[in-house]
Amino acid sequence: MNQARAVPVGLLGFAGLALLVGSSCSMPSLGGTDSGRASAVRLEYPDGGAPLNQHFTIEVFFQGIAPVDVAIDADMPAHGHGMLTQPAVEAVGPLHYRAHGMLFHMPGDWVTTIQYKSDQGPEVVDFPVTIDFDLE
Amino acid sequence: MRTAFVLIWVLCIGAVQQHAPAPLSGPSGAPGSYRDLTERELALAKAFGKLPSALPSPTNSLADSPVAARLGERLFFDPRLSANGNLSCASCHDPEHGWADGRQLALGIAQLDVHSPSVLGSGWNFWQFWDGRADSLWTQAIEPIESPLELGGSRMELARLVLFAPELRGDMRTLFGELPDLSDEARFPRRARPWPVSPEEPFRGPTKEELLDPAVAAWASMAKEDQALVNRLAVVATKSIAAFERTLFPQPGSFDRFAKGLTDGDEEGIAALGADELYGWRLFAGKANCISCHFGPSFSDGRFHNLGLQTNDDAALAIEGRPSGVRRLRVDPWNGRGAFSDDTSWEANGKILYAATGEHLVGAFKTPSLRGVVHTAPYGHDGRFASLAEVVNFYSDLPGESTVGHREETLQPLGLSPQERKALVAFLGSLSGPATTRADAEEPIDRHLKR
Repeated sequence: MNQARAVPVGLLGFAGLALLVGSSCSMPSLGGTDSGRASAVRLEYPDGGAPLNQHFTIEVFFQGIAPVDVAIDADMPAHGHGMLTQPAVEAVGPLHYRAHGMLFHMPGDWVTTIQYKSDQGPEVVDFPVTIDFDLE
Repeated sequence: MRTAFVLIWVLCIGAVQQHAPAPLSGPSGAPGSYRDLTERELALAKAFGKLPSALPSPTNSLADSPVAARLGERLFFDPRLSANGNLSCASCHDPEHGWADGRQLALGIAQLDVHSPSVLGSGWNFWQFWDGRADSLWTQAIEPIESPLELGGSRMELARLVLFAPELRGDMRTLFGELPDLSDEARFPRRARPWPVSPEEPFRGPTKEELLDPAVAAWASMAKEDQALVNRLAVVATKSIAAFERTLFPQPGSFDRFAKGLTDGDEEGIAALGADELYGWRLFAGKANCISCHFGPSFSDGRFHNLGLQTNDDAALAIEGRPSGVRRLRVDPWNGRGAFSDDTSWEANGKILYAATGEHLVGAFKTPSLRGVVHTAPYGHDGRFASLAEVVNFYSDLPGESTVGHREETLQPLGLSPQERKALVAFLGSLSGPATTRADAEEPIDRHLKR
């Protein structure tokens, strides 16, 4: 499949906005495509962030596009493996999806991947995140 | 308190970050004393150095019942559960061998293709069996009782035992209520068990070959309501065995005394770890990165990994591991979503719903706890490592090429020096206290922790 793969948009403005929003509720992450369109994908982990070795649910919000065939998964590129679970994706609304059964079972660098199709074709958006032990 | 948090909230360019290892390593040299450990090494020690309690078991309403645990203990050691009258659960989970059996491969009525794991700390497990095909201890317990390779018994014999044995009957009445009459052997044959459930055809009847087994033929001849009654009795028995197993824990080791000493500021406790053990801890949490999978107070993630153990040398003996386990889990009528579960909600059983099977899990087996590990040799799902030194040598050298699935790429030869290998073995020893005896099993865990 001819898919465009993009890491989250790395603009400081996006990062700053995400951190601001994250401080008030759950922790979101903004993603976008490298196609230059005004589309964006926003990802929210549970309150406090993605836990280590516990099932969790993530919320995915789209803006400026009408996605279909949304698939959500995650893997550890450096380890060559994905999750031990197969998340179930729920369409909460036209622009709001929810993935149940996410599980980051190891500490380290994970990448959550959102795949979808829009009128511009298939897109893949990656959200890197590092998971560590809670030592607080 | 949640167990983990997002350390870095990454929103920028990902290519390098996606392939960089987690920042887990600290200094590489041997610490002269605990004062040379990093803040992170100290914090990890304090977080891991305490025995955990068993996980909740919502599908088993008897999980924490002392009456059930007493009945379960008697059943665990009762050879009347076996076809030959000589074997019990304790044959493969022997207190004299760390509640394992000391053999490379388990030996019931016949030899199995996997090593007997210790049941100490089995209440910490998300999954039971090496491939995780059981989602609870009570679900797990029926298989070895009925397997022709293990005890070779049957659920009918289990039900009759708890009804007719005077020393068991009273507890069974307490747990089950009014006891039924199974004396009509035309309706309740003395020995009867169902045929295996096939993942491919979960609702099929017995095959002609399976009906050659008199116990299977007897079960097939029973009325469905009588089968259901026997199942209900057998389930109370296995839930009781689970209640007993949940009381079994390894004893705290010197690492726990060290961690408590750090927390309390007690120099005597801190001195529980010697120089080799401190160095081993640094390697375990750093260079060797054992804590990628062996983390938390149980020193296990409880999940599944392919270490590349199955190589060209023994491809004929290869077993699939986790994908097979998930396929069997899903069709198991005794799983947490089944008719005998005390909580069939998806909230209590999400792990069944979301359990993945696929190529990336071929050759993956459950991570064992490292607590009490000096008492449970040999090691590995197939018991191939005779000693902890052999285990450490394996991770240092990573010999062979996996022929069943693929070895996780995070595993790279560590190239450990002799001193580093010795230190890691010494540290692993610090995770073990004295052997847990049958008498210890009856003590609440908080009494262990006070020692």
